[in-house]
Parts: sequence; C-alpha cells; structure tokens
Amino acid sequence: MPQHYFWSSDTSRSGHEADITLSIIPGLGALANSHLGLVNVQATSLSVGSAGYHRSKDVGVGAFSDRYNLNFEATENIPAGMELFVNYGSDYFSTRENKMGPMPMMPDYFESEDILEDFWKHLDLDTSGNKNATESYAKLMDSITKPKVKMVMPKTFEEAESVRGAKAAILNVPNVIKSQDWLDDNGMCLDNIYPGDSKVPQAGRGAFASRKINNGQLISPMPLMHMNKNVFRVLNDEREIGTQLMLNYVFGHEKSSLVMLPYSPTVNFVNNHADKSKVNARMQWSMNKYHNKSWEVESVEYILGQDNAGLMLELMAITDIEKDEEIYIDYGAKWDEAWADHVQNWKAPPRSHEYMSVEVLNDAEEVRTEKERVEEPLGYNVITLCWLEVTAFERDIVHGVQELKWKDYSVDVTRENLEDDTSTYCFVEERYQSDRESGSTRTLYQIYVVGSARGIEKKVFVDDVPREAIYFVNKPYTSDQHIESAFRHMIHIPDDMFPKNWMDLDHKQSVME
Amino acid sequence: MFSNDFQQMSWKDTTMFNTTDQSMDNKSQASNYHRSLTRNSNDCQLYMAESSIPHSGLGLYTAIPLKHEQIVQQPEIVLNYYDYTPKIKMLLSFSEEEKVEWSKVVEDKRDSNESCVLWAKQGECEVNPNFMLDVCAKSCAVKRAGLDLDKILATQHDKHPECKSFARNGECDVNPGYMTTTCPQSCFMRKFELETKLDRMLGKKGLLASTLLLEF
Repeated sequence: MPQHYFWSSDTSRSGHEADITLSIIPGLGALANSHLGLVNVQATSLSVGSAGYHRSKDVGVGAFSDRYNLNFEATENIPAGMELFVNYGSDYFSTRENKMGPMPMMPDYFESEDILEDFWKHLDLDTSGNKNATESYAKLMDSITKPKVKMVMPKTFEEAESVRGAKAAILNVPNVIKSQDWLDDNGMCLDNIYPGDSKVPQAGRGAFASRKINNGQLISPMPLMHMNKNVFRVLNDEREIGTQLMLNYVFGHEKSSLVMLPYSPTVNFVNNHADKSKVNARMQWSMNKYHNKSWEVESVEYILGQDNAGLMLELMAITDIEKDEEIYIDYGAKWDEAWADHVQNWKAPPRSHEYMSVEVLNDAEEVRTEKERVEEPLGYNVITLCWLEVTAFERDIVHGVQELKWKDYSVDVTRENLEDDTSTYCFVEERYQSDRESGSTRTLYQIYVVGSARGIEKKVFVDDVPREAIYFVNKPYTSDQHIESAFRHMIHIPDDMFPKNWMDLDHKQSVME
Repeated sequence: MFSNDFQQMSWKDTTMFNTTDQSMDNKSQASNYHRSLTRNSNDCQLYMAESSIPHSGLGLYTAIPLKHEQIVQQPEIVLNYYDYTPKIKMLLSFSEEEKVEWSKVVEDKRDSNESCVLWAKQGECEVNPNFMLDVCAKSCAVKRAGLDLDKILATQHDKHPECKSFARNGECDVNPGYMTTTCPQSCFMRKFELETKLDRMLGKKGLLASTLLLEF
C-alpha cells in the first residue's frame, strides 16, 4: 500500500542515491490531502548529513536517515483553520481519471483564475449594475470551451462574487476552513514535539517536547501505513545482502510479517532509551474511528490487501514531560539485544577512511579546484554538481555561444530540488575574487562541464559561478544508508498489545530476525 | 492569494461551516475523547482531523494564519526506499508471459563475470562452452532460450557517475563493450525507455500512481 505515499526522488534530493529511489515524507508529505485547485503548501529544500557522525568511527551511522530538515512552506497567505493541501502531481490524478471521472488539473485552475481576474478588472459595477453583470458573466461562461476549465469556474455571478479574491475551488469544498472549536473537538495536535540532535549517543536526531506534556496525555497520534516486512530485504543479483533503512522506522512483532510505518509529523524521530527509567512515553492503539478495531481479528493477508491506511497508534506520556525534554519509548528487549550485539561486534566498513561526508563539503566556505584535488582528493564517494538551467545551457552550447556566464542559467538554489534539468555534473577549474567594479569582492568559480550536450565532447567553461551553485552528493550506492553492516532492526510492539491473529510467523522461522 | 476580505469573510462564516454528519451523542463522545487527549495543547498550531474533502480520510489543518513562504511544520525526515527491485524494473520491461518464461530459464543460474552478457552476445557460449557454462550459466541459458540478453542488466549497477549522460548521448550503441560492463543499468534503462516510463508514473514531482498496482 505505500505506493500511494511515495514521492519521486526529485522532491527529496535523492536522485543520485540509487538507480531508482522513492521517498516517503511523513507529515505533510503523507498526511496532507491534495486538491489541485487549493494547493497551499509545497516542499522546499532539505539537508543531508549523519548528524556529524562518521562511518569510520561511529556505530550508529547508517542506522538513521541522513535526509532531514525537509521543510514545507506556504505558497500563499493561509487563514487560520484552513486545511493544508500539497500537490501530488497531476499524474496522480490523471492516472485515476478512469475511476474518478474527469479531473481538472492545475493549469485548468490557473486558467479559470486568470479568466475571473480579467472579468473583475473589466467589470464596472457602478455603471452597468448587477443585472448586467449577471448577464455578462453568463456570456463569459458560454464563451469557455474547455470543459475542465468550465468545471472549475463558479457557475453564476453570485457564486463568483462570493469567492472574489479567493480561489474558486473553495466553492467545491465549502468546509475547508474550520473554527478553533471544531479543531479541538475533532482534531489531534501534531506539534507537541520537534526534532533536534538526540542526547542518546549514536542515535542521530531525536524528538523533543515543544511544551509541557502531562502524564497520561497524548504526545502525538501515529497513523500507520501497513506493509509486508519482506519488502525491506535487499537482493543483489538474487543474493540477499541486507535490509533497507526504512526497517528501522517501522513497528512490528517478531512473529508477524505485518509491519507498520507511522506517517504523522516528527514521530519517526522518537528514540529508544536503553535505561528504561528514562522512558517517558509508550504507545497504545487509538480509540478514534481511524483505527479499525475490527482489523485486530483479521489476518495479515487481509490487512495487506487493504488499499487504504486503517490503523493508528497513539504516543502517550507516562510521566510529566517538561518543555524541551527528549521523548523516549521502549523499542523492546529484542531491539536492545540486537543493538548491544551490533555495538560489540562493530567494525568500520571497508574504505571508510577514504569516505568523505558530503555535508562537510557542502558546509565548507570554499570548494577545492580539480588541481587542488590532486594533492588533497575528495572522497571516492563524492560527485560534484552545479546548479544551472540545463536546457538553456545546452541550447547555448549547441549555438556556439562563447564566454558563458552562470547568471544566464541561474537557479534559485535555496528552493530548487535536485532535478535533471537544474543540475549537471561539473568540474571546478578555478577559484577567484570577483573584480572590484562591483564594489564588494566575493569568491567566484570557473567550472566546466564535459559532454553534457548531445555530441559535444569538449570542455565547456562557465564563469562567475557562486559557491552556493556548487553542490556535492554521494555516488549511487555509497551513502550511509547503503552500508551493508549498518544496524537494521524494527521497533517491537509489546506482546500484550500485538493481536494474536497477526502472528502469521508463529511456528515458522522469521526471515528477518 | 487570499485577500483580507476573504479572511474576514471566512472567519465570519466559520460557524456555518461547522456542520458534521455525526449525531449529538457521537459528537460529544468524540469531542470528549479528543479534548481529553489534548487538553494542554492550547497553543497547538497544526492539527490532524478529517479532511474537508468528503471520503478522503485524514487531513492537516493550520490553527494559525500563515504568511506566504512561512514554514508550515517542523523540519521533516525523508525515508528512502531504493530499487524497488526486481519489481519496478521487471514490471516495466517484461510482459507477464515473459516473466514466467524468464524465471523458468534463469532458475538459480548465475553469472560470475560482468562481461558475460557481452561474451554471450558474441557467441562465446557456442564457441567456448566449457568455460562459458561454468562462468556465465545465466547468460548462456538466456541466449539459448532466445530471450533478450539485455534484460539481465536490470540487476547490475553502474560503475561510473556519468553513466546516465553517456547513455543519453547514445554511447550504449556506439561503444557496447565498454558500456555493457561500465554502465549496465543506464543502458538497460535506456534500451527499455524506463526513465520515460518512470517519469510518466511519477510526474515530475509527484506521488507514484497506484494504478500500477505494484504489490508491496
């Protein structure tokens, strides 16, 4: 079922991680709905790094995701109480049209907004009056030939007037803004915790209380996507070489092939504590209607066959938790044993001393030139990328444009995510100070690209490239999540909570343990 | 963008929006449950509740007004799942019948040299059977059954960071010897137009279309 929740790797700057990478983004990336006429939030850039740990000395590296700090921002002013919508991509809807009927796409909504704006601009209510306005609106509607644009237009002048200045799509979803009372009655709070560097050594990041939480209170709901444990096995040429990192974030039981991944915000940061006296939270099955209690007596096969999520845990405080205190749960005795075993038998993975963290390179003020890299090489794992508008760049190369400057292909590096058409492999030729004419000097780079455009094999140089347009990523299959000996273990749901009917591996040897 | 007018309008009219299909009893029960769980979250800014789009499950709501470009939730983690293998690749490059035949032919045979596909294409299985059946059992079986040898490349990885752009520039056809061993994955993706098919599945920045009904 998680195919509904997978994002393309462009959104998560993970396009170079492997041949094909799909990403799950909890919170807004999994829990928010999409309505193409009401999209009001979007993902922006993220950071990559293993919390300052290095594989040559740290046992925890590879056991937690190195992709964090993915932010979502408002794409417009949003009133209090409004539902948040992300853009799942037009394809998500167009591939469902056979089931759900004709679907207006974002361009249809944009076009209707333009038509309405134009209508209001040319309408002079004072001289023409309401009656004329009603008539000219009807005429306007008749003149629209595209059925999907027509679908999203307000049907009458009165409707159009009622949403003037807002998005017309609001007419189709009249309940989209809720009162504080409604939210308190029907909602569950999602920002009681925030992420930060964990106090547990080698754990990476953790979750901390945003405000005081009393004993017995809800810290966060954890809606769950269900999946088969076997999907985390990594096979290389039919040989089993390990498990996927996502296993470390799922909840399950050693006697079951059913595992569940929470997808509400921040909950995936919550750590285990080996000292159980420090544990300040526990899970319980939710009592609300989004947890199908009836599934507890169903088989694993039945649940895995369900297309929609239907299970929910709640993360509850079991002591009073002060603001900024880290949240800990008990991952189970099996997990503690496995971790102790991992720590005891840990050896640095092969070539780890030649491995360079791209986070360190990305944070560095200066970038080494190719000449300097001969003396002081970058890690074997590093690829250098340059941000630029690749299509315009390649067109200029083909047209033989000389003395290329970065500003002609510039992209907003703080907002763009990694995509084929906004970044390219590049080499750093030279580092220099910009000339004094511009007033203040700054460090700029000359880079070159080889064989980027069809049939061009010579070096193509680009001048005046700023530091922030040069970016480092890992070569495919070299980042920390690909370390074969990294710790991999799911989180255990206690025996007394785990339904007996889900224990399909009870008399068999589990493949994952 | 919402104008001020609209914000005022919506606040004024929110009471009108607060209709639910629940009976009073159910409503107060649910309300008590939710309020008991969250009673000290007075300054909560982000809520999970039923989506305002009917039959769409849960949704997210902001309890505070947000300005354009304001960050909406806590910085989030990304969980990557790589190489949905062999499923995505097999699904996109094999027909159902081919899949069955392929698994019968390949069984548990393996290649132990990365040049096997190339050698098999060059006829080495017939010329040099003793060596080849030992080292390249899989490639020779695929060749003998008349299946497409290039599909073996689905499970191999590229060894050069620029493989994708080499393949895009047509190197797989021009320079098959080097490319088959150095960029097997990119050549495989290129030959079976997997990138185009994947783009179509995912959109440019979107969710995977579940109409593909990939078993997970």
